[in-house]
Amino acid sequence: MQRIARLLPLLVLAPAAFSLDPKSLKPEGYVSDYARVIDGAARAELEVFCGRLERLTGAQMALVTIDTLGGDPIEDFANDLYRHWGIGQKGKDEGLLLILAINDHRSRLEVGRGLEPVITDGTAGSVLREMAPALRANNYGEAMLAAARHLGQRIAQAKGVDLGGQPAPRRARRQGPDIPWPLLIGGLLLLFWMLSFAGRGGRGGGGFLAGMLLGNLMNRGMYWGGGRSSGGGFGGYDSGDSFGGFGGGDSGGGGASGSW
Amino acid sequence: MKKTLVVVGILLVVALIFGGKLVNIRNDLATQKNAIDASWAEVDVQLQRRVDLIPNLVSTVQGFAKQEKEVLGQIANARAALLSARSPQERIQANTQLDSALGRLLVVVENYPQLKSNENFLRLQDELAGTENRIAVSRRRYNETVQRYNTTIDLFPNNLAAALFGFQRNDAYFRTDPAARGVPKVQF
Repeated sequence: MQRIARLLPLLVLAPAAFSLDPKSLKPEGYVSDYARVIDGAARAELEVFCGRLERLTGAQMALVTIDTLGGDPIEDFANDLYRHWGIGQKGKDEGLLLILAINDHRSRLEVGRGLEPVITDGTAGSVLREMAPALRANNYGEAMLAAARHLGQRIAQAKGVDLGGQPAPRRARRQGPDIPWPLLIGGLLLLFWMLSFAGRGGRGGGGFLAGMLLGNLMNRGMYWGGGRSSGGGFGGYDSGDSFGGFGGGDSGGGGASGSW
Repeated sequence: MKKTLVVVGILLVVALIFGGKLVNIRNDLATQKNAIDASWAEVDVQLQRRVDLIPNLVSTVQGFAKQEKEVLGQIANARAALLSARSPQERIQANTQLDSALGRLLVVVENYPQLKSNENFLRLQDELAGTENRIAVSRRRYNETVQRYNTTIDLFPNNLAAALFGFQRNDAYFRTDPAARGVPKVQF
């Protein structure tokens, strides 16, 4: 009995310790180095490069390292993480997710729907194969940089943009109209609250009606607001090339997996 | 006289509420049924993509391993079966057949080191694996949609409305052998 009692916590903890839930991960930037294998300089360079890539082409690239998959297929992990973070702008789905599972020696490049014609599965596979020698030598930062440059170059070429320095003549990026939803909804709430006071003397049906209307509006508001982009987090204005959160993009499972 | 009017009024309101609810359920079921069709279409696109990749793969393999007629014949047959299949059930079955034929091909490929390291073949291999992963992803979403529809139909009072408007359970889940999915992914 005592022995069982001692084993019980182990049994409870075991699944949590071995497999990583993508839903528990928050992006640290374009680079999310959970395995802590990329040095500061390479990381800073990657952040700048990805920032410039997003500003010039609209494509978002997420670079992730984890210790281990805990036996799960990397394809499932990658797709779950991709959708959870919502890489790429919603609707355009121009995003890339490069994952290295350090201890498993597995890699995957997941390609958003919008980039599938630019980064075909075959291209994704060759990029991963090109990374293998550097990965075998434990040069993770270097491998990531080479892969990011190669991929960025391809995207820039497809969009007719020069990544070298100057911004593109026309901004490829398009965002929805800037409607301050929280303010609007707050104002409406106040209005209906006041209306319900006015109606209280009379028939008293105003509260119900107001509630219905408000519920309707809120629903719409949430729908327009960007749906699945639950992973963004950082928000704010993206001045310059710093990470401003992902945009709610989707992936249908395109890309390739590899090992080293 | 006044009393009957009140009763009729109440009955009318109750009937309106019930009628409205019924229409709501009917519309919801119709929406979900369309969602199933849409997510199946996504699966179908990926199945077609897989079928389109096969001739390329076969010709590349033939360049290195002409004598493997049996495996290549099986693949051609499975591809033809998938092409002629129409309903989701038939296509799912034909796809499983193609799964196993491709799995056998990749075992055979192990005997040809030159083919195994050929960049063209590796890329085709990636395309095929990528398509398989896309099928897996769209299949999962399709199954979720079918399940949501079936759950909606089974719940009270939706089951009454479903019976009234002729909505039936849809059991065309896309099941696969979990072991089969790993086969085509050969370690290089």
